[in-house]
Amino acid sequence: MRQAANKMKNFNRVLKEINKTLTQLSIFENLVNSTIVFLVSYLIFSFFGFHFLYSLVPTFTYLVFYTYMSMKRYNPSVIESKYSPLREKLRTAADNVKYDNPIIDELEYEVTSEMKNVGISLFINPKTISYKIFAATLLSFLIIFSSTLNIKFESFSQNKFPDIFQKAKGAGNFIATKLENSNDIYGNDEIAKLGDNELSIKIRPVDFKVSVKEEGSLDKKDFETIFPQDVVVKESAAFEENIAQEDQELVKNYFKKLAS
Amino acid sequence: MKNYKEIFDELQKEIGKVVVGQRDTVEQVVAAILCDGNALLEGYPGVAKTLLVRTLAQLMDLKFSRIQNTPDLMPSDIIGTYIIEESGGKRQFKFQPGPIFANIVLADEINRATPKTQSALLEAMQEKQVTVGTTTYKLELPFFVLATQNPIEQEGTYPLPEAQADRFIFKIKVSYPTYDDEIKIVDLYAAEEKEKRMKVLLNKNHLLTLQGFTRQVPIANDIKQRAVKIITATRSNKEIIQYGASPRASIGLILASKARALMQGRNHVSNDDINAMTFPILRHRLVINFEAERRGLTVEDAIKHLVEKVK
Repeated sequence: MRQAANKMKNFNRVLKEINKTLTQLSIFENLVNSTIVFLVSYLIFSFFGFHFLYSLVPTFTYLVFYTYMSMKRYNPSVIESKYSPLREKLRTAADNVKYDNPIIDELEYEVTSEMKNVGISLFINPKTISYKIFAATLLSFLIIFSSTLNIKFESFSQNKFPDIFQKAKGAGNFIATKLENSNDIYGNDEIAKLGDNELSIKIRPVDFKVSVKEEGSLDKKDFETIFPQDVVVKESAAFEENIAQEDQELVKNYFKKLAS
Repeated sequence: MKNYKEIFDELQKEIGKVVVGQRDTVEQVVAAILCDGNALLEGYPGVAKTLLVRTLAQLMDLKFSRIQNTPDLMPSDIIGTYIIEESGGKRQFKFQPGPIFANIVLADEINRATPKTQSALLEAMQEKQVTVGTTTYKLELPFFVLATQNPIEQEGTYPLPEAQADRFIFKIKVSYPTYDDEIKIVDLYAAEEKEKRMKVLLNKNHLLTLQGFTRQVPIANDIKQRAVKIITATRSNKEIIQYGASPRASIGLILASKARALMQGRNHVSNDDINAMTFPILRHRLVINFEAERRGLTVEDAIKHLVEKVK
């Protein structure tokens, strides 16, 4: 009786190991695929001027759907599809794990022995993984280039879709953020005035060198020095403290002359 | 499991000494015995139906009896009857068992017996016991009835109703041998007569143990579900099938597949077992409709269609 219980326990352990390994593998695969989905979506949405958070929608949809599908699938069948000597055997042994008879024991022993030949390499295709990593790298570069060159079809998103992520715009969002008006960088128009003349500023996005020759000679402006009326000079008792007694009369007369 | 395969291979080899070819027929008859069921053998006269059963009985060291069914055969001729016996000056009734009291019973041309006699035989094979008067007699186990019927000369016969035929686990078709096999048969039986020695390979206890093992062969859930789907499809597919199979067919299909797996030395049932055993299981349980007949389809075609359709 105890021997039978031990056998059942051993095979249960094998099944748990199978489930654990395949779950880890499917999580890894789903994450890699989701990353690619995210990068592709990001690139497409950036082309059309959508907020980058839009790309999380297909990514999470993909991740949730495929995680659900991988949880739903029957792991012994997955192994059987990859390793034909276990075909129908593993499923049968797994489905009959609660029963105990000599034939099932023999099947469990056979399956456990065969499982030693099943490696993780059967489930990971290095070629596919390499392609996926290459694709992710390529997509990342494409995103960087498209951001640098500011490639986008802005008119499409502005005209067709409302921007639901408007509030989320902020620092770091250098691709999708759209300037509302010139105040954002030039400040208030009123402040940019000097006297009654409007200040004209030209920004050169590529070349920052200013050529004096190109700009021409500067107009001379005459400025009047006007002191405000409310500025007065008062003598302070504090000065007396640091001035010698014999010089105090001299300083007092100097300031009186200055104020008159 | 390889030991079991060796036993059945040896059995096939020994039967092959007297019955040339017919490997599938032999396999299905042995499967029926392992399932503790009964089989209906259909074939033309002279295709070694009786020889096959007799040989099997010898190889398994089982008590064999043969009932030649005729329209005037009475139930008491099969089951047995009370006879008056005189012992010590006293007369008393004593039960005289009929030919049904054997391990392997060959009911030749069962469709020639009257429905009353057919019912008595079928009841005995179902219950594995017979009741005479007020006394019930248990039949010795293993008990296996193999009934035969000819597909020709249907005049004056009483074809088995579907409900009666359902009690047979298999309907096994015995076809004519191939040309090469027939040459071998001629060489074997038309030459100088030699006594063919059969060695006993199994006994009653071995057979009962094997019947127990058959039920223990595990089956995967999806394969089991497919087997049941095939049977239930016979009831839902009204395009070509008029009457489908009963749940008894589902039980039979699973058991027969287990028996085939055991005979092939496997410790699990495969989809191939289900595919192979669906034919003898459904052959006598399906009634195709007029439309199927009009299209020239047979019961075999309908079964093939179902097996291919249900994946």
